[in-house]
Amino acid sequence: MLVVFASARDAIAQAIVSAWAPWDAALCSPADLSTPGWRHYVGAPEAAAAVIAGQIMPATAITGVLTRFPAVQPEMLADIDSADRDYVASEMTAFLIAFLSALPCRVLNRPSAGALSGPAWRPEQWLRAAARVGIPVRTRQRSVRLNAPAETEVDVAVELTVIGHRVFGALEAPLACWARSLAQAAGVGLLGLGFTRQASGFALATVDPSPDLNAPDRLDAAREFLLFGAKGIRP
Amino acid sequence: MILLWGLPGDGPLRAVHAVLRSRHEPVCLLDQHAIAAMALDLFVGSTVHGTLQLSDDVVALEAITAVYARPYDVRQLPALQDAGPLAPLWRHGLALDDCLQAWVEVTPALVINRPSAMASNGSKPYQAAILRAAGLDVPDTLVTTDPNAALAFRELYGSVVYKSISGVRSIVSRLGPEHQGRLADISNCPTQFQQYVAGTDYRVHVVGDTVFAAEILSEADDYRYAGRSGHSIDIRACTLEPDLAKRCRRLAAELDLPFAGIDLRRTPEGRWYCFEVNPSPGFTFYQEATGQKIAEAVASLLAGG
Repeated sequence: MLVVFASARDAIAQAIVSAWAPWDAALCSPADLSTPGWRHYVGAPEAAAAVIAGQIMPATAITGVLTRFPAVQPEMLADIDSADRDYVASEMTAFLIAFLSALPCRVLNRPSAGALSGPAWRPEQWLRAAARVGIPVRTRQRSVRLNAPAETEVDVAVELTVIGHRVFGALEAPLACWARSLAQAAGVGLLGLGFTRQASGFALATVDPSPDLNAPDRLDAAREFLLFGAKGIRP
Repeated sequence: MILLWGLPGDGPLRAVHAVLRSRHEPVCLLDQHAIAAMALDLFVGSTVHGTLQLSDDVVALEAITAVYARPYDVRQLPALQDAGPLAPLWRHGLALDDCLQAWVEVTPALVINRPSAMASNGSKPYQAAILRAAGLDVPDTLVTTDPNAALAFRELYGSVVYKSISGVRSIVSRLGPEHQGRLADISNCPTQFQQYVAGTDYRVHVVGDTVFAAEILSEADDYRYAGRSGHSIDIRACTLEPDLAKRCRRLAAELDLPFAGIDLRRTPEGRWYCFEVNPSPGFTFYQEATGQKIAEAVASLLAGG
């Protein structure tokens, strides 16, 4: 079963589950964590159990995971007493970080200690990681002072999405190569990148570890990655 | 220049500050109470540079060689609480905090400790898996929403404790018959149960390559709250076996924590269990009880000595 972890109100997640229905896909929202049956034993992932679509199942029945939020938010927990929502959201996030990290199947993206959808990096960390692997980067400037105006948005000329070893978007060389190398350096299978055009050429400006999969070819690539591995071959 | 970031009344920050000043090390304090007067310009690309304006000083970020970061949640600062979430000061406080967090992640300076390295403590079972992978024994742990699974786990071990999964501080408590009626509540939220391990607690502070160990004698399930439960507590400095000290050093290094507080327990049979690694240890509690010079060691690490 493919499982999409997302808010119950996430329309894109619902569309993904519909598109993946022939491959047995289901949505798992934070509300599903308020259901008896979840079990996670540290060091014994084979004994874990999940509750997906109301059914208790061994975690080994999950064959792939797509995660669409970096953390469970209190507002996702309408059925929890409002006084407890902040605490329950923190506990559910901490649980999912451990649970999803231990799954033997492919996870897009596997959680980090700080986020459910991959590295909990700030923009500056992505730029430094990119610079370390030789990708030209646009210097990010932050100027923080009382009553200062808000930062202006960066003009992105080219957007790419990495899914496994495949890269989608305007594939001007060597952008695809750079995109793959940053995804590899960060240890993620899913990554969105935005490049600006400078006098010296393209420079990385924005990175999103949870880009939208809003086109059929990207959905297919994500599904193939989850089910068969990076090159379309079952590992 | 060594930057200390936090509140001047914070025990560990104050203790390290005092040592650095007594040694005449170049040090500046980023006092979060003075947040309104601060400004930060940060440039990150192929290099990292910028300037930090404090209430009485301007510092080039590239001149900062070490940082001791113990920031409090800015939203809880009195000035921001008084101003409220719609005030410019509130937005300024959050923006400054976020920018400083970004800078300490990317600066080449020594940082005690980087937020990304501290994050594993935000999920106890996630960190426990790292501890196991590092070759340390951790108590068997179940996180569940299933009351029957919790009961079966207790049946298996005879005695179990429960505690929070996240970084939210909680009192470790033993699961007893008095909890039976409330056990159904765990179906609302995953809850962590852990095999109860009888023995003596130890707190190990790793500061760079230096290891300070303290033995904690208390009958309380959670010695940090011994007074509340009517128990006494006695903390004594001790020396770890060289192999265990080496493993503690290695664990802190693997977690990328120049300074770590490691919670261990030794069973009567001599087996060591590791419970968790605290990435921002409130070491003064132990230092005051044992006389160990932990603040001196942290100051030396910051000063590059």
